[in-house]
Amino acid sequence: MPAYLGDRLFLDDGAFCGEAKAHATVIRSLAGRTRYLYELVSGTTMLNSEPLVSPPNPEGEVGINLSGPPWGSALIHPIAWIGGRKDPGTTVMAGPRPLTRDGIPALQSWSLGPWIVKSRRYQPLGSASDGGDKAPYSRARLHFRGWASSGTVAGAVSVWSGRKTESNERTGTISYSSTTEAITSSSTVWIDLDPSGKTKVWITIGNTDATDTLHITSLMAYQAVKRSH
Amino acid sequence: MARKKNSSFTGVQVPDGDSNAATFKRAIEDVAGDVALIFDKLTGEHAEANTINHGGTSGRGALLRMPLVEQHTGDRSLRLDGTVAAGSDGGPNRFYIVATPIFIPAGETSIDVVVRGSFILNDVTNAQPRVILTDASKTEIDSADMIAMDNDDENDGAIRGYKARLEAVTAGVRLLFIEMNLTTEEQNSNVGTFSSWSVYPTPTGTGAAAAVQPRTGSTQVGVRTPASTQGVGVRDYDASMFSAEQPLHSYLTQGLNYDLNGLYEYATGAPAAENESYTLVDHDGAAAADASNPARSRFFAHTRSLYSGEPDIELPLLVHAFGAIGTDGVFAVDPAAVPPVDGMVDWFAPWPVQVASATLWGVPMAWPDLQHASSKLCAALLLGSNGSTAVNNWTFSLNSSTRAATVNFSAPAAIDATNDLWLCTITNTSLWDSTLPDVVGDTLTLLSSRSGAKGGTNEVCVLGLCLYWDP
Repeated sequence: MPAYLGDRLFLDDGAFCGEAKAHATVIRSLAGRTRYLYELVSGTTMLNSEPLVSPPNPEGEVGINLSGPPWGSALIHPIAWIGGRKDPGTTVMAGPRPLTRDGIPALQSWSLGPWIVKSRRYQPLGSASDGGDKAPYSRARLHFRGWASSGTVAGAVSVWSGRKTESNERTGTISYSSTTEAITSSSTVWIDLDPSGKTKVWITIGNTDATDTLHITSLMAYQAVKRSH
Repeated sequence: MARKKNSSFTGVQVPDGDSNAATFKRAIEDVAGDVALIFDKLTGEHAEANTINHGGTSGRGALLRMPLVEQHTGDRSLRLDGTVAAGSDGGPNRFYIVATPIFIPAGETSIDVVVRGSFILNDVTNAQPRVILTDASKTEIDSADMIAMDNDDENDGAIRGYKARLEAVTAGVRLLFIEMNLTTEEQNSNVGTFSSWSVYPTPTGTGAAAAVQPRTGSTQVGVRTPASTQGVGVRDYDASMFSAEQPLHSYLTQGLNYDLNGLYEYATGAPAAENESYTLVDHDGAAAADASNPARSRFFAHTRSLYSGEPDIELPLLVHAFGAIGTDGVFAVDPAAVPPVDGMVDWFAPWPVQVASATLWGVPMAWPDLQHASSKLCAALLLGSNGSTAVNNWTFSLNSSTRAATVNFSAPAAIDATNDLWLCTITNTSLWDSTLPDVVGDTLTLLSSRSGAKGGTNEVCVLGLCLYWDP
């Protein structure tokens, strides 16, 4: 049995108004929440002999780990990446390294996957009926770095997360209008990351241009928000 | 004024919360002292030493358990074409398919290493992949044979992945090697396609699963709106307020209630109590709310937007393996030809051909919204030279396109007497400007240049890059 107060009994403003009686619930709430908060912040119990009063974080451990509310604001950082280079591998650096090698020819497509992406465990925020999971680590935004062999070349991007089914597909369009590399993204394309921290991903990019080649040299999947999408 | 603060957490014993108990001022005083301690640990105010840095020391926050590597190669064949140089054992060729620096944050002691692709390793005697973690001088810290994770699920004789656990790792910049025995196409005993690799802290518990419902609506339970110069509106209480002669009044009880609610929002990033809306908002007190600029952060996120002593954290950002090399330091291909035709022609560690400044590699980068008066962004680059000291003539650097800033690595330093492997570092760079907001869509590039003409077609190959934040 715990020897020290610790719980999440919150009080509304009425507990402190001029006519309120001084109940022990006031000290019980203040003291209980202080200990609860101390555990979350410090990542430890107040005394070795005291049981924990806070729930485990998404890693099954004690305390805020910055994995999204209520476990702290999420960090912005890379999650998964494919680096690359534009040059063919004879002029600047030996070793062909663009992601799509010689590029995606006109009206052709390039695919990758399944790629099992390891990310941070997180606690879901919201449900399907609320419009989907809004937890920061529920989505990895994507940036593609690429270029067009000539003119403007667009690519139809499809990303599947978890299972390669129509309901798990996110689609969007990216385009490049120069032979100089640029970064593009689509606001409708992201990876839906699983709360377990392990997600199967497939990516397909289809060149919708009838003439020119689309080149993708590298991509980055990253966590982009602090408290909710 | 003697601010009330407890040097360590005190708490209030259960009998003080009994429904028939009198509320003693000492209990309120203990709460006030503990609240002040929590505030100082989060913000670094009042010269608090034991701030929350998530560094593994007891009482200084939970470990972040950040994954260290999640790189896809674009599906690179490990096939060996034509003639390859013999490995150090004179027989089947052992290669490092991954050789790279890696940053392990403080507090992590066990990591899992996974490689995925399609592997057919039939030479049982020599086929066992292996992962090795060393210090910067290649002195082994831990190593383990890699175990097949799933067997031939497509009935084509190929293993889809290998995994190993290193349980004796130590924090800091380390070198990680993934070793495989590979053979020529004619021998066809050990071949494969290397698709991706991951490194992450070994999972511990099962974690929380219940979803938190988003809230919309009003704020019912009080949270004190902070001033423009405050991150969270928490009062200081003078110790004299708790003396025997002073009354117990709602300035203390109501005040502490507001303080606790504010700290809860600040630390957890969630609205306090059953409130449906936040009181804290990311803003600078004058301009509109801004959730992306770290300089306007009003939540606990190590942004140092308002508290100059806010604790820093160690954060691994990126590890990139460029290609394979022989375990004896011999290049994975015959470097006499560009492009090479002998050896592991699809996944060899590449080398700069041009001596003038050139961009070797790039990736879109997502920078964390951390700030510091002097940047804590660091990098390490591992090079291979097959014993040649000509690598000393090369300069490597990193560039951030948005910041238009290029920073040189230190001169290459041989990690041991063989002169096969060389390490370059960047510590505390100026790549990160603390006044800039977080930038997404930046391009990080690796560049090289050489003083004078080369002695041959190649002198140095690029093996691995590591980027991290280390205060």
